[in-house]
Amino acid sequence: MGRRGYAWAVVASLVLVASVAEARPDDPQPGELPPFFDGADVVETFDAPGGLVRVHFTRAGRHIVDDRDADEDGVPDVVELAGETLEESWAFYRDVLGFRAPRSDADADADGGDGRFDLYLLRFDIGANGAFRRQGCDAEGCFGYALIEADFRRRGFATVRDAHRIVGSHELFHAVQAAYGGDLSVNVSEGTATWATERFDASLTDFESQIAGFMARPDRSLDQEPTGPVDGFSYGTGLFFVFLDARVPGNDFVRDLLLGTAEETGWLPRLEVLLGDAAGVTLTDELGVFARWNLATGRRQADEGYANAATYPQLEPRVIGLPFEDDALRVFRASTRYYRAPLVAGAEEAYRVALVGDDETVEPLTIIGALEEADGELRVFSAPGRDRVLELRPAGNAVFLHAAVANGAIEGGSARPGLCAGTPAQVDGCVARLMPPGDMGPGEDMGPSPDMGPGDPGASSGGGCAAAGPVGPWLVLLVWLGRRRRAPLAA
Amino acid sequence: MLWQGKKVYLLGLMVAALVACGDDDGTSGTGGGDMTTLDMEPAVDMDAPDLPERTVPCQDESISALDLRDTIGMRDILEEAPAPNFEHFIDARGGGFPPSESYVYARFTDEGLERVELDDEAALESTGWDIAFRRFVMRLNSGVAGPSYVVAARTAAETAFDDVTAVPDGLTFREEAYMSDTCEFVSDGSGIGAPATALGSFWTYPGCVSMTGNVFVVQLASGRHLKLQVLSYYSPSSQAVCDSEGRGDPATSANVRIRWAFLD
Repeated sequence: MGRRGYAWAVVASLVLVASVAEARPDDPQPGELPPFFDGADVVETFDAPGGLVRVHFTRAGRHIVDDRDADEDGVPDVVELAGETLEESWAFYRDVLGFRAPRSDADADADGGDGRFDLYLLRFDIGANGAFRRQGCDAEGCFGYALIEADFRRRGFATVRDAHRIVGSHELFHAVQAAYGGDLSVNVSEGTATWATERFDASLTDFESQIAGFMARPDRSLDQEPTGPVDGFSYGTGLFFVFLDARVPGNDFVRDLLLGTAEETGWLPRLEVLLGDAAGVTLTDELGVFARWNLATGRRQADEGYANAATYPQLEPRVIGLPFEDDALRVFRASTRYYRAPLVAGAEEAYRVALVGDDETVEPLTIIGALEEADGELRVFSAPGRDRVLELRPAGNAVFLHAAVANGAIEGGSARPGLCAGTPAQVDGCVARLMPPGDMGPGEDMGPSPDMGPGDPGASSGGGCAAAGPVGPWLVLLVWLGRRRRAPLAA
Repeated sequence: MLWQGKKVYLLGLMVAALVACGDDDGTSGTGGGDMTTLDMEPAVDMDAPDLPERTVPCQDESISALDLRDTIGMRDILEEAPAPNFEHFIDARGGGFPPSESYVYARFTDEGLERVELDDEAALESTGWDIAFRRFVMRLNSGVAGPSYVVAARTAAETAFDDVTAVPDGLTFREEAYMSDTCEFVSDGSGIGAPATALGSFWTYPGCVSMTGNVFVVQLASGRHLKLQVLSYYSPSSQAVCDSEGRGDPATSANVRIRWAFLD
């Protein structure tokens, strides 16, 4: 995770604590979280030209700003930059994306009080660059103020301008979120703020940096909140909202999620409804696609995926050897487990990935496999979990086999299927070992299953075969297993 | 199933108390709110026969919420002061933030704090450890954290470590209950969403992980007791800055130091 990711992680955690604070950084009260101005600081203000933002700063002491003033108007350039950047992002979120504007604090008893959004320039400890703090709410929404690093030089950003555009637009989007009221989940709060900054200025590299936090932990549920300080994963979930934009262009999902924060339901079930209404697709299926796209990033390229996939951090699956066998994989809802095995190019005609589990277990899952050539080109294969097997053929000169299991469930605990990967013969043996002994008896109904008809090849990209190729007699047994377990439900 | 685990645990404690004390005033369960507390006689002999096996409840939820991992990190536990008042350094960095490795598991022995090589998922089924460290979280092997019976009680505020020479009267021992009976995550009120562990009050968060100096009494599954105090989360010099000025030093974080001593 990049340095900036950690920085915001710490600060965002403070936001939670400070959400009910009455004081502001120029009027700290006991218990005020740092940073705040020192008692001797002379705090000046600058009103940005659009009339929306007031910047609070000091020219001396610990929180001194860079006082260079190229236009000699008496206001440090960085103060003007900070205020104007917030106003620019304000206009973008409101006028282009259609979000509410940050709530005015004109009715607040103290602090600010002039209706402008207050921005305080302060020196943060290493590891933090900005924060938004809610101060008050009414029936319509909440208002607050932002703190941003007073001197971004030597803080790891390409330029000071970039720093303000990244941190300023991020914190301002938190003010936008607050305008909708409600308690937003941390992942949605930070993920959509990361998404918003990318929408505001796609030339910034912040998004690519932040999504590394997600790429490092694709096995964590999208809606698993951090315990402890906010970590890079929460910021990195911004990738999911970019994915949704690519899949359903012109959607209003983020705004609709903000509007729905007062509801009891979690954000994934709400998104399920929004997706169905907007595009007639299920979130379960889209999470499978999301898992495929995330595999094809960095130097790995496939026929489908993100427009800027090559600039995204590369997902690093767990390295395994073949044959691979796990009797009880743990795949949390809205998450994916990835594995990668080195291959001897040209050694095999085909490889196979299989799930072992009952119908209920495999139903929300997607099996994903990919063959990676030496140059990073991927041929990606996938199939619904209920197919239970995925054949990757022809292997050609692939040097890596990828196997992944995505769990498209949006509620509930983890899925615990068995997972087998290897050559067809190896997988046959693995599946036979992992199937419960009581389910292996001969003489049962071994007839064809509606689950495995020839018209259900699963999805694939990049050519080659997809799911449900010639898989051997054990697959029929698996199908039978599924039918058998449905019987009690019918009864 | 979750109920079964809880019921077995309470029964187990009662059995142990009866064996040790020979009367019925030894142990009672006093669950309250989200926290399960156990009022226990300090001298309960839990070495006595056959603590019942128990299944740890809420495993799936704990693995997800606490980001438990199946990767063991090669992290050090170093003795910095010998018995009787041991001091140990624990590398609790867990591979960084966010952590990429399992907790560091350890057990209290007469020879010191011994590392136990376990990953997080295996630890949910192991009675071989007493305490686990990762970042600012310390967990004991009980309740929702593990199948053993290691519990802790905080002594009165301002208690000095050296002044604790026996198990004080009136302590309330807690098992780990950072997941509720319905397997919902229970945070500690620190404001950063940390799990409400039995030892969680060793720190507060005024902008960094500041030491409270609280002294705890830990009761092992054997019934033996020890006193424990967390000395620092950052390097000692950085900890001093954090404690006095509220400023942390991420570069030295999760370098934990504790001191502890057996009481019986």
